[in-house]
Amino acid sequence: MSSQTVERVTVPPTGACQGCAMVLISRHALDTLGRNSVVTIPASCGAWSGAMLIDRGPTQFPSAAAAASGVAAGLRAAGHKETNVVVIAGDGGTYDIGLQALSGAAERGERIIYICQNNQAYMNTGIQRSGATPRWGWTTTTPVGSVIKGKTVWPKIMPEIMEAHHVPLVATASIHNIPDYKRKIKLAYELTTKQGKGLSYIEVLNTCPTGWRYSPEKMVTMARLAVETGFWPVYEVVEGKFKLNIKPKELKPLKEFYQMQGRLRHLTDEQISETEKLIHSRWERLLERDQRGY
Amino acid sequence: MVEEIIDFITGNDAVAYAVKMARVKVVAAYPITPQSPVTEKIAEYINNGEMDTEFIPIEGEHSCLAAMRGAGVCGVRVFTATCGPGLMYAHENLECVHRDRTPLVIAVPNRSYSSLFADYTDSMPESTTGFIQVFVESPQEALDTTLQAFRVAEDHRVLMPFMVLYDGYVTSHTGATVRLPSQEDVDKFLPPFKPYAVRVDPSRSEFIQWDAPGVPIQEMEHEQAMENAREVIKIANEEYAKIFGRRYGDGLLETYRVEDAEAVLVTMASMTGTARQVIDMLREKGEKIGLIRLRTFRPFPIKEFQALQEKYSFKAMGVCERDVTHGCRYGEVYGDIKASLYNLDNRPKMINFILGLGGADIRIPTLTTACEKVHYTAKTGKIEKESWFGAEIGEVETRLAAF
Amino acid sequence: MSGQDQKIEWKTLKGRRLDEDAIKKYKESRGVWAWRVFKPVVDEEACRRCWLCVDYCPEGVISKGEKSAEIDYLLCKGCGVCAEECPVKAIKMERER
Repeated sequence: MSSQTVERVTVPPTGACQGCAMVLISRHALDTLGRNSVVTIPASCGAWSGAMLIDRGPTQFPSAAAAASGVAAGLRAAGHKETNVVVIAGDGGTYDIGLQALSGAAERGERIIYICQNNQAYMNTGIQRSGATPRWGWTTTTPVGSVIKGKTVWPKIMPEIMEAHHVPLVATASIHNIPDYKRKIKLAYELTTKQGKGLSYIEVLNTCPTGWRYSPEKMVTMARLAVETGFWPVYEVVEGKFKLNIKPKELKPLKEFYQMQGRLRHLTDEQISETEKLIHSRWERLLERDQRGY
Repeated sequence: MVEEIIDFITGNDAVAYAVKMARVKVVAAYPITPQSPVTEKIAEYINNGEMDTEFIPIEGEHSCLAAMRGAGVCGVRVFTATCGPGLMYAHENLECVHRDRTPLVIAVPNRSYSSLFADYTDSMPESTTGFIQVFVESPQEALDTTLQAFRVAEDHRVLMPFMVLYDGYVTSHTGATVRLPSQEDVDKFLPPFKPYAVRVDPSRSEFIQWDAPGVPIQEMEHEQAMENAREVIKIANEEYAKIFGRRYGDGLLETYRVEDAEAVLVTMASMTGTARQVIDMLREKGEKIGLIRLRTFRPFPIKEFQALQEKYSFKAMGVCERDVTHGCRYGEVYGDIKASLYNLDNRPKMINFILGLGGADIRIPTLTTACEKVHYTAKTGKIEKESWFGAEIGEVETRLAAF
Repeated sequence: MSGQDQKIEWKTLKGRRLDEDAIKKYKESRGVWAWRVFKPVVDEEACRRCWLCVDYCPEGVISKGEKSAEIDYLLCKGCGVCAEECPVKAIKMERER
């Protein structure tokens, strides 16, 4: 339940918003992995994550995974074995502009621990929509107008895309359950850095108070509710074996989660029920997979 | 010097051989015609155990340069090759490599962005970004220059990435006699890479905070590095000649029969071979014409051109190049030479010949017509027209040299 | 003299060690404490030492003290997550300004 006092790799304070979940995600990942690591951060809120006691490999927006591949090869060539090469990218740099580099790196079996902190929009540049924004969600480029209200299409499901890449670990995590998240980071270290089996992909929901329009103290509550309504299922696929990590007995109504956020409060009951149908059918599929084990 | 093996290989293979000799540690590449054989050869060397190198078969040129940037900051020797649309795709990350001051060597078998064949429209857009750009004429020079590239780029006075440019197909795919230096001699010329500053090193016990001086200071330092590069290229040229017996002019420019020339033709890369024949033919007829081959395009040999003009007082200069700057009706090289010579009291009249676009052959009749125009200007002081496209002086769009 | 033994200084490639002093200066210079409107205050008696707040604090400015959770007020931004998540409500947000 409690965390050890680890020697910190991240140095507070950062310039992040009050209640920023990205800082929480990155500090736990990097502090768990320790000093023998190098991190690559593309353009994102994470690029301003302040001082760290590890080296940062430089990268442009579309190239996080590609630069990390280069860093991994360069470190091997320079004789550093078992150094963690970590990417902490946002959903923009993973789902959209960074998709090619990530897919290429995964296919090549690069030894990269790729952490996507998904806040479901391009927050750093001012809350524009991305491929991860939920349907009908408000963003500055999909505003709720009088004719078109919010984003008109469904988001991608990136973990399932990564599963098609033959990688040793694909997992989703939530910041309300830090021990589960840390366990996955340690698993990524084992599979990717130590055993060199390929790229580990961990996606964590970043419940950004600034972009989702709610008061920052509810940041962890929001993550908990996301998992309990089935909006953000937490599971892992370790070398092909599927396991659903957090299994609420009954999914809470989605409206509870949506009503708390300014970006999703405007949805009509039909829209919420259509989204719920999709979420529940996906949930059924995940329960089936959990039964089967793959 | 260990006796060199004499082989008959293409420009691409020559570059790959140089990469092997240079003991490069990380290579990333994506296939694009006409560069693919370079990486094919390197992959062959690696899989045969002849090279101890990390090979990243990257999924695109943009990612390729990003990977090179990532590997470069770890303080190891890196190499890549790309050209044409690939070079343009990589543009965003090309800028980053020189901002990090990574001594990356890129082999670019020039390919037009509009066709498969050779012209310089792919590398000219990169001429303002801070790469050292050297045009080579033959497979032998491609091999020699690739080795010199590491020496120059890694020099602590320079630390700028280096582009080795050779004509796609004409030099890259055409076989020629090449003398292959031995590993022993190359090791004498090229010491192991000692980075000036390693940005990524997990074994450091403390973290290094990189000062980022403002952009104006950074750009000034890059200019200082380019200035230093002029000298270092000359030094590397001489050092190479001491060991291997081959030099290319003074490293920046190569002259041919300029001693009493009134008119002079400036050429680059492989068109020079044809141009030398034309100069010989015209000299036999009694015309006083010479040739300057521009080898180092960036940093531009401003003082060297001025010195040549002051020494030989050319009356007219014709600049031949395979690119055009749209909207100006002249090419990059013409503009740079004109700017270098403008402030001289005794400057030549200048004409630009935009030849070989899209890979069209630059043939004897075309160059003869060009020389005639320059000669006319030298004799009369009048300029018929300042810039000529190849099609206007009888160039036919054939590409025999490619097949 | 070989190219790699030159004595030359490049400002673009200069680095400073981020040692204890530099870290201390960095922390003191950021001034994020000024963002606070509310300030979290720990009730030492009520604190159960479960350390959930240590995990949940985004910046990680809460540490395991002798008696209870201890908050570094130089670095706390006043987001309120610790108070919201404390299972026994031992942390209260008090109006600071």
